[in-house]
Amino acid sequence: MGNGPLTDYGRALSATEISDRLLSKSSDTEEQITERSGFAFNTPENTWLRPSLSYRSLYLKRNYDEPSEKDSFIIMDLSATVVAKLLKRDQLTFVGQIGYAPKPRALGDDADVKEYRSREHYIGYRPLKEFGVYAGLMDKVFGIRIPDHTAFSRSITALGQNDQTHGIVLHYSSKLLEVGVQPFIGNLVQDEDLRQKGVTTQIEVAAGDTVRLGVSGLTSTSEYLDTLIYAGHGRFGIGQGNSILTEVGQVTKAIKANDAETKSQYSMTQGHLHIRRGLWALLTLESLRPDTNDSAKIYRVGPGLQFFPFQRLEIRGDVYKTIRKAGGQSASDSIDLATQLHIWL
Amino acid sequence: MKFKSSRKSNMSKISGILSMISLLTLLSSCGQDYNSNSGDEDLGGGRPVATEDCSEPKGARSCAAVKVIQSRCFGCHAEWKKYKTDAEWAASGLISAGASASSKLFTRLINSGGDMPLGGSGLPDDEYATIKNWIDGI
Repeated sequence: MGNGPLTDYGRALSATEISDRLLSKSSDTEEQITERSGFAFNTPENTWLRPSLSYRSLYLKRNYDEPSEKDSFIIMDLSATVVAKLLKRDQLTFVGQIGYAPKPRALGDDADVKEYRSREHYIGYRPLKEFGVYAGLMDKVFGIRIPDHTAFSRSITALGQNDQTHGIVLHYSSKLLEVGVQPFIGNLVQDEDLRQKGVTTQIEVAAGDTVRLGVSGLTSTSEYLDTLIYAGHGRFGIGQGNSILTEVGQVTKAIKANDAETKSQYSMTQGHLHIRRGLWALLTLESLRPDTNDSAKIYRVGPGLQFFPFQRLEIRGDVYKTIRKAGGQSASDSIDLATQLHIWL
Repeated sequence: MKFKSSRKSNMSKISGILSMISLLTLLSSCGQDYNSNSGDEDLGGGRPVATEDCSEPKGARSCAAVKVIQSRCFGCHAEWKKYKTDAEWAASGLISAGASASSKLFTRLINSGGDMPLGGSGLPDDEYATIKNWIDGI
């Protein structure tokens, strides 16, 4: 439900439908390009073991044109994934992923932390085409998993880039309905008292060929914090290659030590406009009310461009304007510029 | 011949499965553990930061020192929160038991000529002495 390893179909789709042909010869046919969509540009093979590599880096300019302007270069992802598929119809799946993880900014440059982590490792068994069960470390089943892991819908919900959990996912999928139920126990690498344990679920229904509507609910607890989140979302396909994703939700966090409870509300809407093969314009509109007992709100507007000049290569540029309002007055605005490079093999 | 190659293929898949299970087990136990909940222990209390017996003289030195480290260092060095006993602090490599002059945590302090805490002016004399007495008394 929004994540998982890239399949042969996904690679072929990326090679022929999504990406441009800037580095292909004009004489190459689409079929020839598909023939090069396997691992490391080789011919896709129907083998039981499929490796892949991924690299994503970010150049970020925070607080543009302000005295506090700061440039950063961050390697967000440098990882290797192995997928093993066994039995008839690939019913049994093993997925293992490990990669570089930059030092968390909150810990400072001198922090003595490991700089690698696994964001995904699980076993899956799909006895029927419609039903599967998966066990291991996975992202939580909730809402829309847009790749912008700093979006309010992912940061306030604690469903960010490093928030995977060990658990079990029960997954049902048909043409009209998709349901995921996931009891979880937190990331076993982390100290036990910090692990959020609970259950999350998502139900999504097809309302037409290009519209899907869904609801999600998550409840979890650790030694320090209780969390309750619910959200509604919609995915809309419009015309050829255009889409709108939208999600609204409420997050309630209760600190156990002092019974303090905070309710936050968020919304996210992201539109993709297909300009030409390989090129999309994006617009992301977000809002966050960090505390419903306070009138303060944060809005974020993010126009961007996403370009796939060739298969396996994505270049993306975004401008984020953050507008903070407190008591109806504008408190402070800021502009961040981001450029990303994504390569996968 | 077909039977042999089929058996070889199955053996290869079984060894592959066993390798994957071992890999999954290994991946479950190591790596960076920082995530959105890493700071939750600071929400009103948090976990006990020392399990030495604070009523004993040795434990009292440990408890007092960890209190200083908690207030002066944990903000940037959150990963140090997992050290709960003198033995764990020594095993971390940050201190050398009985030898403050050889202890990285001590020598990096501004008071010792180092640069920690970053951006600060050094520890008050009593806190500096607390750290020194703790390490030297282990």
